[in-house]
Amino acid sequence: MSRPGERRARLTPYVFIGPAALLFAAFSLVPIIIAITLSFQDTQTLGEGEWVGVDNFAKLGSDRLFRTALINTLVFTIGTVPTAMAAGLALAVALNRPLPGRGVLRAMFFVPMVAAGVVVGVIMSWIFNVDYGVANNALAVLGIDRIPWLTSPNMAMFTLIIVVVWTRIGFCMVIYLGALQSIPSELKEAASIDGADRWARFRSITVPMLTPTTSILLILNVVFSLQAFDVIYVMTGGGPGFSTTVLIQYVFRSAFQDGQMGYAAALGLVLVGILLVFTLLRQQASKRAESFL
Amino acid sequence: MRPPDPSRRQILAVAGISMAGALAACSGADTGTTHLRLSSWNIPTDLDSYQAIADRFVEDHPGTSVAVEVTTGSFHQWFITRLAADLAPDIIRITPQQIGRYAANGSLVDLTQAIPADYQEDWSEPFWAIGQRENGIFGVFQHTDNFITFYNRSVMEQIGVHPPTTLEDAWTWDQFLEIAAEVKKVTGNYAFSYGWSGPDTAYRWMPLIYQNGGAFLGEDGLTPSMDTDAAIEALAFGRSWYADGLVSPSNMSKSGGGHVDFDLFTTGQVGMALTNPEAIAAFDEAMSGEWGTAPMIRNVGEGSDLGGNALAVTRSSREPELAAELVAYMTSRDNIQEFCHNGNWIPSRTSLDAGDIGYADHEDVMQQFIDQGTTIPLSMVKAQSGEYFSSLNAVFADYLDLCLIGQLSPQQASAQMMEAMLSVTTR
Amino acid sequence: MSTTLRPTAPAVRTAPVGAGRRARGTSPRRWLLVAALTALALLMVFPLYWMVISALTPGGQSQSSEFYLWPEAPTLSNFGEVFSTQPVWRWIGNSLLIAVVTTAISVCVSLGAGYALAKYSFWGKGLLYTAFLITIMIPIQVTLVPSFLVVARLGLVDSPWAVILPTAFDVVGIFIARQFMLSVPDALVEAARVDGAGEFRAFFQVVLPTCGPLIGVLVILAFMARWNDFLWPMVVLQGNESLTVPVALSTLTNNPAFASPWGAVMAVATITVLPILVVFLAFQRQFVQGISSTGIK
Repeated sequence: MSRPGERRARLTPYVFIGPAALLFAAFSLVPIIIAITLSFQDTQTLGEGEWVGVDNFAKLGSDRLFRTALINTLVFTIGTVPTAMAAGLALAVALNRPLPGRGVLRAMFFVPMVAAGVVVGVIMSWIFNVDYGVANNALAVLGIDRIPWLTSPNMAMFTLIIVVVWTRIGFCMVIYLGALQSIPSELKEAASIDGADRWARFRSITVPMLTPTTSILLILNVVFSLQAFDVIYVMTGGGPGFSTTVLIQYVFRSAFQDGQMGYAAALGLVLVGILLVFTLLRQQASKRAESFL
Repeated sequence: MRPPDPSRRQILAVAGISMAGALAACSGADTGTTHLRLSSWNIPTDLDSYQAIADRFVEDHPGTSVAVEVTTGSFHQWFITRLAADLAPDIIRITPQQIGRYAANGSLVDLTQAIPADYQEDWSEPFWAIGQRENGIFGVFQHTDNFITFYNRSVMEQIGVHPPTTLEDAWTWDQFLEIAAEVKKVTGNYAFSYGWSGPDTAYRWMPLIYQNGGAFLGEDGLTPSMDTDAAIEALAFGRSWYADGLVSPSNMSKSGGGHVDFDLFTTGQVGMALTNPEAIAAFDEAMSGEWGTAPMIRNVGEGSDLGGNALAVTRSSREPELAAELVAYMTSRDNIQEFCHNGNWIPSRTSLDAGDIGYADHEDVMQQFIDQGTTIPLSMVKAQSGEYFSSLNAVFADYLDLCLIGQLSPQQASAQMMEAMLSVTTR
Repeated sequence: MSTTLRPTAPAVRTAPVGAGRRARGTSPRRWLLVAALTALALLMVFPLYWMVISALTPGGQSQSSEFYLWPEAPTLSNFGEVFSTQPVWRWIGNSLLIAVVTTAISVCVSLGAGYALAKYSFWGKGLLYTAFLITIMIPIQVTLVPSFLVVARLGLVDSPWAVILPTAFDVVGIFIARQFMLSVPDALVEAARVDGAGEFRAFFQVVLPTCGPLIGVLVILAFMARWNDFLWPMVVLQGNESLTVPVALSTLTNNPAFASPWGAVMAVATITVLPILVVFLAFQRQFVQGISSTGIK
C-alpha cells in the first residue's frame, strides 16, 4: 500500500504536464487522428470518403509533380538551413565582443523576424521585381544589368532562399549569442594559454560546446523551411513553371484547389515521416557526438 | 437524498429555461429574429452597399436581421473549412470560376423557387449560365467586368495610330502585333502588359484561345480540347509576346503580388495594357487624362475575361428560403443599379447601360466595358464555371506559364496540358 | 558572462553574407568590423524600411523605375484612408487581447510541461515528447479542417477563445522550458523536499524564482508568434470586427477578385509589424540574456 506522499509524488508530473496534454489531446491529437484516417480515404471536399487503403500513398509514387516538389523542397531546405545557421553563428561571434553600438546592431539583425510571411512576400516581390524593383534600380545606378530575380526559373529559387535566410538569420544569431555567452571563459583562456590560436580555439572549444544549440536550431530551422508557404506563394506562386513549387504548397493545392482532402493528408503524413526520420538521424548523430565530449 | 420539493423543482425549471434563454441570447441573435449572414470581399464600399440593401430587405421582412462579413484569406480554404463544419454564411459572394465545384457537389442551394421568372430575360445567355444548371439555379450573377485595351495617349500619338472605338473595328492579332512593335520602340522597354493578378487568375488569358476559334473544354463542358490547331496557335501567339520582348517576364500568371500590369503602365514601361476596370482608378491617380481605351483585341472570334461576382446560398444556411429571397432582392434591377453605381461595377443585367447606372466618372469607358461583355463566349463561361475548374485553372496556369517562358513549345505545352486536364476530368 | 581579457578574433567563415573579418587588437580594425556590420545591418533592415516608406508614399510614386530612398512627398494619407474605411482599432484591440491572453496561458502551460519533462520520469513521457514533436511537424493545411471541426463542435467559432485555446499549446515554448529546467540543479529541488515542502510548493517557491530569464524569453517568443499568427485565426474568426491585424491584412492582399490599393496594404503591414518591433527593442537585452541563461547548450 503506497503512502499518500508517494502516490502524490507519482501523480505530480501528470498535474504539471496536464494542461499541455489536455490542450494537445483536444486540439492536436484529435485533428491528427482525423487527418490520418483521411489519408486512407478518397475524400472529395465534402461528405463521406470511400476507404481506399494505401491508394493515396501509392499514387504518390507516380505523381510527377510530387517528385518535383520533393526535390525543390530538398534544394530549398539545404539552401536555407545551413546558410542561416552559419551566418547566424558568424554574426553572433562578431557581436559577442564588446563593440560600440552592438545592442543596436543586434536588434537590427533580429528585426526581420518580426514580419509575417505574407508581409515579407509582398515586400520582397516588390523589391525584387525585375522592371521596377529597388534591387534592380540600385544595380542600374551602379551600372549593372537588371537581374531576373524572380522571372528566371534558375534564379527564382535562389532569390527565395535569400529572402528566407534573411528572415532567419536574426533568430539563429540570438540563440547562438546566448549559447556563446554561456561558454565559460576559463575554457577559452586555458586553451590560449596552451598556445592554441584563435581559429583552433574556435574549432575545438567553441564549436563542440555549441553542439546542443546547433542541434536544436537545426531541427527548428528544418521544420520552418519545410513549412514555409506564404512567402513562396506570394512571391512566385510556385513558378516560373514548377521551379519553386515546394511540398507544402502541393499539400495546400491538393487540399483546397483540387479538393482532394485524402491525398493532401497522405502528402502531409509523408512530410511528417521525412521530418521524423531526420530527427532520428540527428539524435543518433548527436548521441555519438556527445559521447566524445 | 430527498427529492426536491415541487417549489424547488419549479425554481430549477425556471432557472433552466432562463439559462437556455441567456445562452441563446449569447449566441448573438435574439431568439425571436431570423438572422442571415452575407459574406463579401473586403471592399469597404461594397460592404456598405450590401448592408444598405440588406437593411431595406429587413424593413420589409420584420423579425429578420442581416449582417455582412468578410471572406478571409484564400477563398477555397475558407469556404471548404466552413462548409465542413456547417458554418458557412447564408449567402456568399463568389466568382464564376469558383462556383462550379460547389454548385456540383451540393454545397449550394437551388434558388429556383425564389427567382422571379422574368429575371432570366434580363441576363444574356452566358451570364445566366454561370448559375444555371440542369438541376436548378445555384447562383445569380450580380456584376461583371472584363478586359479591354488601355493605351497611353502620347505613345499612340507618337506612332501615329488612332485606336478603334467600336467592337467591329477592334484590332486583330496581326494588327496588334504591328502596333506593339512600334510601341516598344517608343517606350524603349516593352509594348504592353496583361492583367493577371496572381496564380489564381491564370484563367484571364483563356479568352485568347477563344479569340482564335479554339476552346478550353468542348461543347459538353467536360472534354479537354486544348489539342486543336486553333488552341496551339493561340499558345504560340502568347509565346511570341515574350520571345519578342513585348511583355515583361515579371508579368505572368504566377508572378508576384499586386498589379504588375498597372505598375508597368504607369511607369511608362509599356504603352498599352489589356486589363480590367480596376485600372481606371490606378491610372487616374498616376496619369489622369493621359490614357484612353479601345476594345479588347480579337482574331477570328472575340472574347474577353469573365470577371465579376455572383451571389449564392450555401447549404449551411438554416433559412435557405429567406436567403434565396434576399439573393433575388439583391439582384433586382434597382438594387443592381445601386450597387454598381456605388462600387463602380459593371451590371450583369442587359437592360442597364452606363447611363442608367450614372457612373461618377468615365461613363464612356464603362460603356465600353459593358459592350465588351457581350463578346464573352458561352462555351468559355460553361468551361470556367464547370465543376472541375478549380483544378483545371491550376493546370492551365502551370502549362501556360511553361509555354510563355519558353520552357515548352506550344505543341508540348498543349500535349502536357491535355494530359493533366484529362487526369482531372477523369477523376 | 562574455568577458574576454583581450580582444579576440571573430571566426573566419566564408558565410555568404560576408560577415566576420579579422580584427587583430588594434582599434582601426575594430572600427572596420563595426562599419561592416553596420552596413550589413542596414541591408537587413532595408526591406522593412521600404515597407514603411511605401506606407508613407502616395500611391503612384512607389512603382517608379528610378531609385530613391525617401519619397518626395511623404504623407499619412494611406494610414488615414485605412483607418477611416476599416475598423483598424478593433483589429489592434483584438490582436492585443488574443496575444496577451494566449501568451499568459501558454507560458504557464509551457512552464509546467517543461518542468514535468525535465525533472520527472513518468510513464508516457517519451510518448508525449514524440507526440509533441509530431505536432509541429505536421503541415497545418492537413489538420486545418479537422481542427476547425473540433473547434466548431465546441461551439467556439468566431470567439477569441477559438484562437487562444489551440495556440496556447506551444511546442517550441515547451521545449525551451524543458531545456532550461534541465539545468536547474536537482539538489535545489531535493533540498526543498527535505525541508518538508510538497511538490507544488517546491516548484513555485524554489524553482520558479530562478526562472526569470526563461519567463522573459517565453513571453517574448510567444507574444511575437501569437501576434503574427494568421492562418489559424483566419479560419476561425468571422466578422470583420473580430479579425486580428495579420488576418485583416490577408483580406486585403489575398484576393483574386480585386487588388487593394498598394499604399493601404503597406499601411496595414506597418501596423502589423510596429508593435512587436517596439516590444522587442524594449526587451532585447533581457531577451538575449534570457536565452543565454536558458542554457540552450
